[in-house]
Amino acid sequence: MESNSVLLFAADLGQALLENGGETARIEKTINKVCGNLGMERSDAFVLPTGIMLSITDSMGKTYSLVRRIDKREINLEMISQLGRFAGSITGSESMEALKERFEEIMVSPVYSLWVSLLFGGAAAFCFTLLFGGGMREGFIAFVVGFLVKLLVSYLEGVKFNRYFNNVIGGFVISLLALASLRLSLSQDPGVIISGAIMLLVPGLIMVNSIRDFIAGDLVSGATRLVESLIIGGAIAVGTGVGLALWVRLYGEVVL
Amino acid sequence: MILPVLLSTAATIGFAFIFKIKGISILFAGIGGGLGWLLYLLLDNLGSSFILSYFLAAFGIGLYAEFAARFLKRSPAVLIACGIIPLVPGEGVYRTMAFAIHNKLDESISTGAKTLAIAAGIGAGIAFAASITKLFIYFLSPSSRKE
Repeated sequence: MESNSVLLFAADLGQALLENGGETARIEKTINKVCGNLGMERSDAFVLPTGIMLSITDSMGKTYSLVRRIDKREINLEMISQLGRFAGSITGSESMEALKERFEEIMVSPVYSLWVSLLFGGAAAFCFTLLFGGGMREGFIAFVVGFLVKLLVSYLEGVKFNRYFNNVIGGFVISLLALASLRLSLSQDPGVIISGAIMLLVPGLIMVNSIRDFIAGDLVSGATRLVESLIIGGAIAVGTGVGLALWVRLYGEVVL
Repeated sequence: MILPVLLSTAATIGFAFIFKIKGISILFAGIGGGLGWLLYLLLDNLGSSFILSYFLAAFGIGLYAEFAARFLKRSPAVLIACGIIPLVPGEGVYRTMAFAIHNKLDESISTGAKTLAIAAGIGAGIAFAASITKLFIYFLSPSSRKE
């Protein structure tokens, strides 16, 4: 198989995994395994949360390398699983065209519509609010708040708004909506609504990936992602805090 | 105790949809979330310190996810990411800010420190589970030693 096309194919695969929320250590392993199975003598993948560096040496002793910069970051765990299974099934017997076709097929496989994630986001906020001791009323308000905030955040992500300010605005809107429900005497306890709805923003997956990267010995990625999750957590706290402070300033109510 | 566990299972299933998981794995992810919260509640009732409760609950989720993921042929990260969601201290983030806004700095700092300690406890739990599983696989399957 032609070495340059193997290089490009492996980089595409790695990019797809990274953009959908894969762990860097696992991506490196996958890329190296695929290159090995496609007949390369040696392959060194160096994957960071922000990019991929890949160098392969073919059986003639010729070396090819490439750098890919990654900007897009989403979460699609179904895609990760499918690509992982696809990578595991690659052997040298297939032609490059056939492999690319299978890869494209996975890339265009349908995902849930926006409405599904909005509804389930609202449902999750509802459950968390009840779990934190809220009543049914608070739960339903949290459902609406969660739904609206998820809609706002997905819209801002769509227009490529800065992802940290995205979370600041998310936290801000959550606290304002929850406090407004208190003002309109729809609920007694805005605290549980905020706590429940805020769970939709917390960077749980980034934290898990960070720790798993540390364990796999990938210190650079682990540290990068740890800082990222702390910044996002801080952004949510700042947004919520500004919303609360504004409310206290306007109405002088003590909200805890 | 049954209602909170069911609620956290349902909340985790909601997150499985947000993370765009499909098929039977959604159910397994939900069970992980319920299991974690059950462990946390049991330990909390026994009077264990809060860091230990979160650590052991995350450890339980980690072990469950490592084994369930091998059965489902998926990355364990998929199940862990969903399972730990109920444990993640979103409430702590809010309380820290709320205290700070009302000039109660002592309470704010102690809540903030508690929030970070919970996050560290969860992290350590997942990490420990992953390492233990690696060791387990090393001793059980000779074929994995070549890697």
